[in-house]
Amino acid sequence: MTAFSFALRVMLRDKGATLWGIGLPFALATLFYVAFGGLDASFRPSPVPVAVVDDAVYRASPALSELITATSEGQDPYLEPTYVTDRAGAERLVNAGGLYGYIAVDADGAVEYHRDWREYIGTPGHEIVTAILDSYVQGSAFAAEAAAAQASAAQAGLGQSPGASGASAGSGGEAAAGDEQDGGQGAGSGWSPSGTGDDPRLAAGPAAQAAALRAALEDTPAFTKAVQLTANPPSDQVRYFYAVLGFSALMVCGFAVSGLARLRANRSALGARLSTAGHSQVALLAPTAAAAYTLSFATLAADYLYIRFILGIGFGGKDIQILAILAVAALTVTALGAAICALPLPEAALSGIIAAISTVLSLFAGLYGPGSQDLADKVAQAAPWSTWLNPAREVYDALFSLYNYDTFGEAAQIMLRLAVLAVALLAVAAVGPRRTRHEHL
Amino acid sequence: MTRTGGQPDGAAATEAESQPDGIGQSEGSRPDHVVDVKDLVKRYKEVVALDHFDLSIDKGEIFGLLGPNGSGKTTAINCILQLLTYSRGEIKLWGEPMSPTRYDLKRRIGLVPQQVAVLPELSVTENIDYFCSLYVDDKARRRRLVGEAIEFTGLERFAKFRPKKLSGGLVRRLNIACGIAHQPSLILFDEPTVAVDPQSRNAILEGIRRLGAEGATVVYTSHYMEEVEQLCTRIMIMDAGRAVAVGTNAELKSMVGIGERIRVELDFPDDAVLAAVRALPHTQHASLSGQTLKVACAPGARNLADVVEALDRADVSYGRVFSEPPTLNDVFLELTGAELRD
Ligand SMILES: Nc1ncnc2c1ncn2[C@@H]1O[C@H](COP(=O)(O)OP(=O)(O)OP(=O)(O)O)[C@@H](O)[C@H]1O
Ligand SMILES: [Mg+2]
Repeated sequence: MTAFSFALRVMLRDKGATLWGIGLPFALATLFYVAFGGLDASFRPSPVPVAVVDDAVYRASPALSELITATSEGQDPYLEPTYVTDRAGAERLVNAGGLYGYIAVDADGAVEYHRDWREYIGTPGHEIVTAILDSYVQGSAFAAEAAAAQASAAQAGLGQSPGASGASAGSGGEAAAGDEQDGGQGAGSGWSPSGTGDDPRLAAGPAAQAAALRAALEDTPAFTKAVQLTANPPSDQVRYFYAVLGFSALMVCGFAVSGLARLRANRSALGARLSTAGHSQVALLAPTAAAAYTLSFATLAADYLYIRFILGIGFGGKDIQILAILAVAALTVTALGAAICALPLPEAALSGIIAAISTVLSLFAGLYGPGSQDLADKVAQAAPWSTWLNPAREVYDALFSLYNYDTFGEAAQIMLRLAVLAVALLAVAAVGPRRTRHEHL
Repeated sequence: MTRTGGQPDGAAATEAESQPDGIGQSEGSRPDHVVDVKDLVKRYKEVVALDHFDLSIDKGEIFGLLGPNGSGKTTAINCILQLLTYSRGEIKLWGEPMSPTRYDLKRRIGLVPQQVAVLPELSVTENIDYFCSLYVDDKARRRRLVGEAIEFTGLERFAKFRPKKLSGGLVRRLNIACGIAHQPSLILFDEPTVAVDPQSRNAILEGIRRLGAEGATVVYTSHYMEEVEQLCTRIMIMDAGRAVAVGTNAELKSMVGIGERIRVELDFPDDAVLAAVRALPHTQHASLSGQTLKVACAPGARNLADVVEALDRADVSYGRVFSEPPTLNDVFLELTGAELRD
């Protein structure tokens, strides 16, 4: 206990370790926050006000009207429709301001979105509307074929569908997997897997199309994206904060290095002196490693809480799971620090190594903007194993999956991989000193 | 071959008699030997740092390792502490073979390393407490020990300072405090007083003497001859990885057969005086340089009296007369043909 508290004190007072480990991630997070300025406005899942031309053609597309109803109901509605009877009325409303635009169906049944170009440019409002309408267009094309085959079954389930659909879309902001599940259920009630032999074109009716659209919609990336835009910060921006956490996970390994390097007998006069103190290397290193771990985790947790509550950037709200991931990541980077200490290099070189590792690996977690994000994604696709060796990327992926999926499976897998990596790094740390002993004092 | 003091002569007699077993002559390890090093060979690539090195130290001794830079003092200490591997030899502490995992033996040792080794992030008190905590679990006891160590090194005024704020000498004093706080029974001081001012140095030497008196065994390396001469009950002179001679201060001096150095300021120097002094039985070497007559004597109780008598007999007038006891430098010079002082 004494050794632990001394180790904590030493590491906390190590200006380099605290500056890089604690200060820099906070600064980066703040920097991104400021750079994305006024993020909090787009964070509010405020519904997008639009006008909807509720004329005869519109009413002839029940799938669309149902979709619009569904996306403007529930806990977190995406649209705030104002129904008008004709285009002229819609035009007037939009011109009067306060609306993003209006939605109308033309004579051929094609859906149109007339945006108000004067305002709101750059806000996610248009994107949401477009995403919803895009998915309607895609979905209806798909549904035209699919629903036709199963029109009768679909008809049976349609009655209770709108409510279910609204709920599913409402909660979907946090988790696409949830959508998939809910959607699956919805589809299950509307879609019978038993295929009928009927000609699809004959059976295809608007009601079936609506049901099919709803089902298809859940799989549409554009919709998922739009849905996320409202419930949470735009994912493109939240990515940076995942990356900041990944980066900071690497930077905190400076604590382990600061605490452990000096204890190595072959590293310094201090290490030599300590190794004469009548304790095994393990007994000597363990309290410091524990302290380094504690400090690393506390720092990561503080980083996260800062981003989440002070900067107000939603991470999907799964605090416990996220903290669990950070707890495992802290273990991995503590082991990484221990392994770095085992390298036969002078102590002064070690902080440089940490900085190098952190900045390079953060590249593959997409810390440096869209270019680096693209590169990171390409590398991750081409060589998935490369992400397993990159704690920053693993943290990033785990947070990303938590944000996007309801299930914990993916994140749990990542945690397992991080734990395995930690063990491997500890093995390196343990084998290293045996070779180098105290000999080059 | 190592020369050992064994033939007491003159002033050396009393000290030698108080150690009836003789010095450094025993074969095999004895139970009262705290340190026993046999035939130790340590090489750094081509450099032979320790060349068939033997050392045995009794309980309660303040043992001096004296030698010029690079003679292997630190290497010897680091080998004893198992900080270094060695190609050959045997090291026993308290009669037990030492190995890197003899944690029980290590816990009885205190080390004041030549290179300062303290934690820059901790204050003076915290540093001492930290090192002490590696040996002593009990908090209350530790508090007392830390207090004593601070007092020992006179760091009271600097208790809250971090090492960075301490002067070079103060840091060395902290280095000492960290090594002795846990009251080890064997303490290895590797040039502890480098850069320490004379006043603090005397306080530290006094403290070490007290540690010895309280029963601790001390190994003290230095190339300050005066310090070793003053402090150590027994001294080993090292050169090029070998023990050149071992014995008490007096034994070492008698071993090489040198007594005091006498200088006389003559009013009218002439060769007759020189001849008269040279004729004295204990005179080994006499010379005139300017007004000063220099006489190097063999060990003897009446050297100065004899020289003065001879001058009086020759009816020479002279001013001041100085008599300096032989120094370890003279011994070293005699044994190795080189000066210990640089
Ligand atoms: N790590 C090392 N690598 C190679 N040679 C070394 C190393 N350490 C010491 N030596 C050599 O071993 C010899 C003994 O060195 P050692 O440090 O034991 O001397 P010392 O008596 O303690 O000297 P000093 O009074 O300067 O402290 C020297 O020749 C030195 O150059
Ligand atoms: Mg030395």
